[in-house]
Amino acid sequence: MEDRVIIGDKIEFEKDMESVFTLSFIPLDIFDNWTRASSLSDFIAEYFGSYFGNESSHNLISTVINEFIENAVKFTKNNSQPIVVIVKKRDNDLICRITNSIPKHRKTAFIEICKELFSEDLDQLFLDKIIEGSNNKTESGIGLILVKKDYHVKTNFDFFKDNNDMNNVNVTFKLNLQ
Amino acid sequence: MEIKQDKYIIAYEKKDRLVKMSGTLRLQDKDEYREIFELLTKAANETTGLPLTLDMKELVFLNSSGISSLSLFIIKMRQLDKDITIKGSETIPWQVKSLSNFQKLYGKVQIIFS
Repeated sequence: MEDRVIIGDKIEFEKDMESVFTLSFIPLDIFDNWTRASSLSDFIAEYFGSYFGNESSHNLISTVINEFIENAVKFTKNNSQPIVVIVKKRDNDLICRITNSIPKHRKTAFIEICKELFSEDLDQLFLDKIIEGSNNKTESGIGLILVKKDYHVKTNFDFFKDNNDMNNVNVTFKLNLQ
Repeated sequence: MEIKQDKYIIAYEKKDRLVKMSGTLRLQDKDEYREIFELLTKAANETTGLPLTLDMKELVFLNSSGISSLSLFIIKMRQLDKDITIKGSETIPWQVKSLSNFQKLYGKVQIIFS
């Protein structure tokens, strides 16, 4: 398996932005009290929602960011290593990058999930995952499908190793709020 | 019958064949939704002849684990040939965008927005 794997849409993350916001948290806090993921998502939505001047922005931002935060927490390797969230506002877009560690043994499975998002019919993939999930008591496996299928969120997955030879993933996504 | 937590309420009114869901439902995984799934199944089992109504007009958030759990409930209703009506709010984006997924799972699900 290559150390660096990039899958998904091309998103200009480094380009100039009008507003930027960074926070980090440890996954352990979310596992300790799952409503904290929701609190974080609502806070980011509250912070950026007013830029977009319509009532639905808060719900949209919170819904999408919550899915990515929950996903990052569930896939993280080290519950004490911070997950970093950077959110930028540019024109009518909210661009977000979430960085978390990922266990080596789950990296391959996660890469396959990401590839499916860009190669399969998403309606069919949703139905397949629901049926498949009827035998799985925990993971739903539909969060990333829903944000792409129902919210048309552009998404990019960048798997890389850091200086400590630990596997990480940058999940970058762009939500249009026009 | 009611499940009441800080962030959400699920209330079953047997005489009205109605389950009203309100608040924010973002539980960790499908296992956490089991109690709600069981309430819905009980409500469906006690409803014959007319549709069971799931009123989600005040359900502000539902995460993907919740959509997955509700999807499994809808599939169960399809297997039992039960009629289901879902009431949604056209002012809540997640409902406008995602409620139709339940209809794709079971064509007899009726969705009414107001």
